[in-house]
Amino acid sequence: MKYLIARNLFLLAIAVSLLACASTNAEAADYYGGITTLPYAFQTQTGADDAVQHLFIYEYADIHAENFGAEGLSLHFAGWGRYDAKESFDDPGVNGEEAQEPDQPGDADLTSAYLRWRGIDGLVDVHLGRHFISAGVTVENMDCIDLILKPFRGFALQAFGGAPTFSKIGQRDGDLGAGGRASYRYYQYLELGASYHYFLEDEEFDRQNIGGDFFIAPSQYLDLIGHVFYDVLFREVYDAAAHMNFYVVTDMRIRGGYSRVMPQSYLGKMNYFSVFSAETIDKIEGDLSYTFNRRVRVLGDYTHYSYDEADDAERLGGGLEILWGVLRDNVLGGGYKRLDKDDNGYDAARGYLFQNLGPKLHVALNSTTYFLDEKIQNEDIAFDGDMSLGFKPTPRFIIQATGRYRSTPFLVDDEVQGLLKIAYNVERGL
Amino acid sequence: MRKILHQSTLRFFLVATGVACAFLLVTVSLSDAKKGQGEKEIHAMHLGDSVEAECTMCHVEKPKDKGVLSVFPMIASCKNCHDDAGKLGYRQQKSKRRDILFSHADHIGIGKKCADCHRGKEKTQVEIPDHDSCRACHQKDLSELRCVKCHINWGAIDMKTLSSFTHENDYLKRHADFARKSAATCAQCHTENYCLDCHAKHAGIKPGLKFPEKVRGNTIHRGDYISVHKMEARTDSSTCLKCHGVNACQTCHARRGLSARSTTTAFTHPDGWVVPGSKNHHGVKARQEIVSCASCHNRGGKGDCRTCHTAANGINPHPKNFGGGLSKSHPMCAQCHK
Repeated sequence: MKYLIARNLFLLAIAVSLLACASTNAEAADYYGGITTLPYAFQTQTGADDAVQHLFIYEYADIHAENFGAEGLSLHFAGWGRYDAKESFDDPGVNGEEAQEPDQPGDADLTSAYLRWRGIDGLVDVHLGRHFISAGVTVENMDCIDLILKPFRGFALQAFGGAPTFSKIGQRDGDLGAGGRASYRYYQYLELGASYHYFLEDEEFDRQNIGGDFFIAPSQYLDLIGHVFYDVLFREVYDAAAHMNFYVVTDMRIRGGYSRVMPQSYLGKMNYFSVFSAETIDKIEGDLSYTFNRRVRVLGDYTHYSYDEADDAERLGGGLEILWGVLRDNVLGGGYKRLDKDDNGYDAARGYLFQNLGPKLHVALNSTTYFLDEKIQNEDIAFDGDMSLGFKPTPRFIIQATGRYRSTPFLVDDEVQGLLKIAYNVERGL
Repeated sequence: MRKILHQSTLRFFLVATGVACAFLLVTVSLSDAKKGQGEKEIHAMHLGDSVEAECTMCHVEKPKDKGVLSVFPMIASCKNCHDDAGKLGYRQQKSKRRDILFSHADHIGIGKKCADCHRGKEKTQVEIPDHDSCRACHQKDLSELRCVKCHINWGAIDMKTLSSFTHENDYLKRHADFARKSAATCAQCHTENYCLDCHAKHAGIKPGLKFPEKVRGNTIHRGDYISVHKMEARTDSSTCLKCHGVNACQTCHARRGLSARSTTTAFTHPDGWVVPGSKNHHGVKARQEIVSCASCHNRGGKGDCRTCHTAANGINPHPKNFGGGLSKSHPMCAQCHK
């Protein structure tokens, strides 16, 4: 709990000092950011007369200061915290046994905190601190230094080194890693990239991967995107994918793709966001969308899964959307999808609506009903529906109330939930 | 009781959807604005040598929006010169183009003239500004691809490569491919914390709940996902594990009393778990679903498997017909074969 408070106070202090600094030196910095508070309450019906209540309060905050002290220098912070104001630990759990009580009544995470400098007309881009690295084979949140250079037109070089903040297995303590990506881009037609990274644990290689990625758009009607990732330690390709977008006419798009995920040894620690599978999964997938008169959109998708040992599985679905409004951001839509697997499957029907009720008010409705092939707890239907009403008195402020009802056989519960969202965005000087 | 609640809720959503449909039809039918006509001729008439009107004589400030010039002149403006304005046959139209964030007032405020941006080849031509017009001042924004500074609606831009960023259909599934190559492009609209709201060690709240108004977002885990998560996980565990570490299973299952680590006895391995030859033998399951094992037994090979599977215990960790073929330096082999 002390750790939680300390981290929140740290974040708060940074945010306040940034705001103070920016406001006292109006010419020096442009800043923007947001604060979102989410009180989230729900009641779970655990029996005819029994119910438990929960109340969580989430706080999200991010603040960014551009031209902070010098042109091209910027400072960025983001994080979130959760306080469990009312968490039911007398939850009877399953079969009347008590559930385990968590260690602390809340949680928090400082997700990013870094200094950035972009200079020499964008040819140099440096990050220092905790930030998200997304570069070819690497997808990590790291405490590191990250340097991006664009020495010639189309060429980009990225190199980073530091400590990852977490892994799939758990918190990383003392791990170190480095890597980079080199890429070449020819206008909007082509991009080729090669990437590499390694991570150490106890001074031994924990992960070492090489990746190649491509984007090719030979004509305005076609583009291809894909990647291949290779595990150097296990000497095997563990992830490969290629997808194609085919733009038949302006408002029609057909996409097709193939991907293969191969098993990696669990004994090697993994990149947190990398794919990982116990067996080889081959996926052939495609989807289609066509928009009539920019108002009516038809959607369809299909995926076929092949496995080493188990029987094949299929997923298919379709939908219809009607769009309206100046920005076509009002929508009424519905869809149906089916997952067919040898040992189980389900159908899902969904309907949704978003409607601006004027410049400051909007309403959203959403409901999904699942029809399960095999009963769970003697039920073969699950349902979830929610309704939101949002009020935006100024462009920077929104308050939104959401009610939700859920009937889930998995938990043998009915749930009524309420979520209040209060978001305030600040921006100055940009 | 539950059935009644269920039915009444379904009924509520059906009625609400019906009302929404009716509202939709009315809205769509009313929102069809008429197309513009004769724009070139009108400009030629007013900007020729014989008239030489100023732009702001017709495109006056909107009464309700201070600093915003009316794209389509109001009849009242015509009356400044035309006594018979009502007989001109001109009807003011509504501007539909709101997908660009632009302030005439700001530009005029810094001394820009209309013709600086709305320049045509001829004096009487008025063009909608293109990127070259903007480049005169916004060179840096263009070179750094800060498109979103003006283009607030990607869907309205008919640029080929940007069409991928309209986030339609199953974009959620594909966004990683684009982000790996073009994180800077994502940053046009999204700050880094937008990624990390989901891609964090433990996301605070699931996106479908945090953004209930984004009904088109195809956000994963919308609805009662928990009822079908087992099926989804068995269909494509790799997708789950892109975001959820193996500990995510254990943490939640323990909380629900569905784990060997929990204090309950609700979870047990099936019959035949340690009986060689059984279809439920843990060796078979481990090869098929090592991730499920690892959600509880997460000390790695040294800590879990090798506790039993050692030559000293007389248990061969290799599967039947194991032919070797791997180098002893292979990390898997090196767990035992030093």
